[in-house]
Amino acid sequence: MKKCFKFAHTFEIHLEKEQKNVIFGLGLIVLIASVPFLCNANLDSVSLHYYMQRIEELKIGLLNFRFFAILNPEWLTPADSSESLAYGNIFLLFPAILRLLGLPSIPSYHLFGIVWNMITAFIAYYCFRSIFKNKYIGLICSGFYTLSIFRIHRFVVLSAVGESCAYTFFPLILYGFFRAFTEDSGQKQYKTVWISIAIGIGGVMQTHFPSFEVTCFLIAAICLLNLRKVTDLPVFWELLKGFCGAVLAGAWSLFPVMRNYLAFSNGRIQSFGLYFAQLALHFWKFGENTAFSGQGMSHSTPCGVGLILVLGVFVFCFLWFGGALKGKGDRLFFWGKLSAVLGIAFMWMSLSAFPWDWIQDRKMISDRLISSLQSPTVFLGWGTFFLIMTFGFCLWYCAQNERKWEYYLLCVCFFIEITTSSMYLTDSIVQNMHQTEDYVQENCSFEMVKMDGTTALEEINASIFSRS
Amino acid sequence: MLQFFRDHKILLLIEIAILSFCLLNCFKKEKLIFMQTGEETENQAAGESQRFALDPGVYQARIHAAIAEDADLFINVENDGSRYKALRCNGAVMWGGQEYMDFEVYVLSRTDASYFVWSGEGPEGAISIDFMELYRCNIGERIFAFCCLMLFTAVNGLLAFRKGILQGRISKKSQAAFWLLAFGVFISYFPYITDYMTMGADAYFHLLRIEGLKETLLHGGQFPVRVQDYWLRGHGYATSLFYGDLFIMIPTLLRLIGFSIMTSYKMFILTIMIATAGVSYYSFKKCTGDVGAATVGSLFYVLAPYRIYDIFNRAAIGEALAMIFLPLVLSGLYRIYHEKNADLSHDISAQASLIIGITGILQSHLLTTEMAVVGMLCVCLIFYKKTFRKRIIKNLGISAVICLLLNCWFWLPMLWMMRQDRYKYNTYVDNRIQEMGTSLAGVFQLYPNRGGYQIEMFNCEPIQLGIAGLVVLILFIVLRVKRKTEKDAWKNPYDRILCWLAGLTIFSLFLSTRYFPWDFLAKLPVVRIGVTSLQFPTRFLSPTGVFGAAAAAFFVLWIREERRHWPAPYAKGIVKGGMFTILLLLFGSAVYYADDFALETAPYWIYTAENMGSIGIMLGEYIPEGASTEGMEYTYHAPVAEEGLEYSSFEKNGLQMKVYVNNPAAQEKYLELPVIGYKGYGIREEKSGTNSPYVADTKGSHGDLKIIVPAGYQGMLYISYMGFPVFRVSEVVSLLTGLMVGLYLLKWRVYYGKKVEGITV
Repeated sequence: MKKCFKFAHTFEIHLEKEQKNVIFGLGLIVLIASVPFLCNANLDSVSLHYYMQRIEELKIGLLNFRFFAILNPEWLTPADSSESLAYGNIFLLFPAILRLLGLPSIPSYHLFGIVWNMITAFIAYYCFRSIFKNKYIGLICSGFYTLSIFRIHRFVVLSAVGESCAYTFFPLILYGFFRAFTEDSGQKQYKTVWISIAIGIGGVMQTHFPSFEVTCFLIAAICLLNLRKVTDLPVFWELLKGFCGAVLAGAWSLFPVMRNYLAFSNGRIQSFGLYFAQLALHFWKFGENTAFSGQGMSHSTPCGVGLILVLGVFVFCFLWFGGALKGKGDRLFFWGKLSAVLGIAFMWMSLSAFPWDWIQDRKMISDRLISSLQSPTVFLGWGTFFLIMTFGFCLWYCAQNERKWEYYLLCVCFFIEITTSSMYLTDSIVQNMHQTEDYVQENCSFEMVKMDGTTALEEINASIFSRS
Repeated sequence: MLQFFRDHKILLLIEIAILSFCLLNCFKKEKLIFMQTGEETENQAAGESQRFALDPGVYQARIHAAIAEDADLFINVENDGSRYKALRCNGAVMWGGQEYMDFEVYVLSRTDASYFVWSGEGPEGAISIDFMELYRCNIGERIFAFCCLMLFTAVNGLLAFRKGILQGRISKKSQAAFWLLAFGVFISYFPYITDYMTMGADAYFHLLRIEGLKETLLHGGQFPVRVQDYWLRGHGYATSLFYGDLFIMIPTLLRLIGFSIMTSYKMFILTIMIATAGVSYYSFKKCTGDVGAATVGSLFYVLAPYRIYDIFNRAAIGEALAMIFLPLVLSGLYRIYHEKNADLSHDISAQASLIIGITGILQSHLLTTEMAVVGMLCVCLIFYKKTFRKRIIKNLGISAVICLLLNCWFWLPMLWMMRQDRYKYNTYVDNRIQEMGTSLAGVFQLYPNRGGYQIEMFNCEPIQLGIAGLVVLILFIVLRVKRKTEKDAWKNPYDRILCWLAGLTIFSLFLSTRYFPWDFLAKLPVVRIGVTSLQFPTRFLSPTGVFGAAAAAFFVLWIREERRHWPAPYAKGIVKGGMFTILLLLFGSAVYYADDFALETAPYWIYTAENMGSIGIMLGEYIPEGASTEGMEYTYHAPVAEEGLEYSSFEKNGLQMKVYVNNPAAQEKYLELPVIGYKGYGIREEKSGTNSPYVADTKGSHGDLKIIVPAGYQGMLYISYMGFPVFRVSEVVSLLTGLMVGLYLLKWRVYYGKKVEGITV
């Protein structure tokens, strides 16, 4: 018996109290984010059907030993054909493997969702903790990030898996740039800066090309604002390694996508923009209205950043306006201000008030680049990230300056956001879910149709039956 | 101020340069962009014009047509494709008898293919379009100049504010108060941070008041306006006589600058929100002397569910305006009765609060005035011992007299007109209101939905004090009773005032419920009139809101005193945590309501005021007896002459008409003019004689004005609404009172070297 306990003790992991709290916190965040996946039902969104059939296509490809299957460009979606070429499939391999192992479609998709929530929460925690050098601030920011209204909208309401996956990698990119511009380039660990940049950019590129487009512009803007640092050789080298690493690793999907991405215009996007009120809504409910120019906010789809993050900007402006941030040399102050400015800028760009149509009319290239974004709300991904950075900065500032009451107040705001906004929305979503049968069954409500008229369902059934 | 100019010379020079450039552009002549004649339209009942390009700016469409009585014609300006909402126009209907119409077209981005589109309804040949034109006006330039002015004012204000912070002149508490109140205004205005508006129950009526006042001012002939000419297809409606227009001048001025009716209305609502925050903060600061207490009280008031419900659900703009001034009345009364540190400047400040408060309420909403006056009389009676002290009776007397004289221009003509004629509201006999009161369950609502019904709890609207106010009352009562039962209980200096405010809050809340015997009171003589005019007891939530907010403000001071005597080591933390929880409930509840309202309410994009029509008189309370309250019965029509009377050269410009009459008959003949026969119309002749036409005592068909033309008379007559000599007397009295009060305050400041407390002259 004593030998058994001794054996067990060798595998004990000794954790500090803080670490235990963080793990518990992350677990709770993942659990709350995964509530919509803890049932045998799903929202009946167009994107869900699309991704389910992509997973099936991958599964068939794996059965035929085609590991890098790209969706057959002959498949059409109701929107337009470029959408089917805009994403790589690498992260859908996991649910495809689960399908291969015999799990039905919806449980595979849900398990993928839960695992992806874990990855998102962990990556966000790691990056924010490293930036602010505070575990609890990292945890809070991870909570904001994983349970953001934007992410819930994209991942759960729209089932826009590609965009949600891309969103996961944003913190890595910013973390890499933060390290590149703030760390001492003479240190040994500086040579690892490029890794997070490469993984981040590569991840975005492989999952959602419109997000990659926005990311490229953002990187250009950040580099311009830090031009003096960028022209420093060690810094430039790390950035170049990161970017090239991402492009080379993702070349297998990048070049086929690039061939068709800017081939034609998808039309104007300004009418799909939001009202400012939608950005600051707190008690979001499930809604299906996306025609804001005709129906206003009535029964609007839950797309925004949330009132608490907007309040974070208010708090930041209060500190900045009051001179609390004046003349401070710490680089984190620069990044705090930059995050606030970029957060506000991205929020503005997601609105219908931003003159997207006017910009599209300037030149053909701007028309293609902008129309490929499909909707101005794609900017809310980065917008949400920068607003969380701003909130994190406010937390960090209060912690550094021993403003205890303000710090606890902001923590309470985080708690309010999770319990009364994110959870309110997920509850509303769950209450609107329909029982959805497995996709290889006949009551699939939407079918992708090939050019010659055969349906995806027929093709998939044919391939399955031929293997049995 | 001078220092600010010195420090920001370059910025100010740039601002002045831009404004000067904008102002110069405001005087550009209008330019004809497009015209299509009747021949070109081929007199089709429906069709589209040729396409034309429009640059960004504001245009005016002018249509001349002949529409038969049983026909109507809808005209709009639209555009093909183009950018998101580049052209904003709803179009409008020309009704039978109407010969001319114009409306604005707002173009935000260049459109290459805009066009007129029209469709008519009626028998063949009933519609004939003479020509339609599109002019580019300088409205766009005026709007731009105004926006620049507002932007620069805001920027300069923020710069001055920041300077004050950096120089240490503005404390952290004041900064926090400013930002918290700004956030409160943001939350309360939240549903309108869009490009559309919502149509509350009374929205249509108030939009027509704004448009009616604007049109009447443009037509000239009346100032101040008594009868607005725009209503009921040019027949006029005496809304300005019975419903104060003073603050409606704000959106009217915005309309005159050129903003669309919707934008003017929304900007006005924002002004109401900001004014409520500012005035309530000032009032509670004067009462409590504490920034924190004033901020809490002001937040309670700005985020009061009933106030937000009044603005969005009901669009009861009059009541919402009146609510701005209720804290001033409370503050004035409190300071007059609270004689601590009383001196002349204190008295003048308290009188000013009371006068401005009552003036504001009177000019906004009569029913709230009724409640405020009755409330003040009750206060005077309850504290009768204090009331008859020399200083207090003097202050009250001066305030009452100045208030009456200053507002003479409004209440005297209104009472005069009430005596001259009978109106629709006189016919309201039995108005059982008790069933319209709220239920007990509603008192405890934490998450108020937008709702849709005023009565009962099913899908109920948020007609309540609010959970935060309720928590404050409960906390106060519990802690107060607990202290009273303790041995050696000490006295909190704020006990008395808070007891009174809590009591008044609970009492006025009780008055708003269905449990108060309103139906019994409606049977009692004299009292019946007041009860009936209330319409619904939930109006008492206006005073409930202000009492609750004042109670919250004093609660902050009260709990601070209580905390000093608490033995617990974490007393400060408990109080802070408790106050934070209360504020959380306040904000949470308001945010929930604002969000639910935004997500559940249909949007309306109203760019073109003419699209609303002009018959939205609601119940038509101010229609004289004998005239119809059915808006559709009013049409554009020519004068109707009695057989034998000839008339010609009839022209109508608002309520100013001219007509040439000839009565060859041996007896008097009448002529009915297309305006409602309100008392106060006058006739001016081109050449006066012994036997002059006069306005008849009786009215014509559907209440039209009837003038009597003597036998054998012929000549040009000019008829317009002139009012009565008593109107002019009352206006002079108000003007003189205002001048005298202003001079007195100036004298006080100049010769006694003291800035009157709270009033900067």
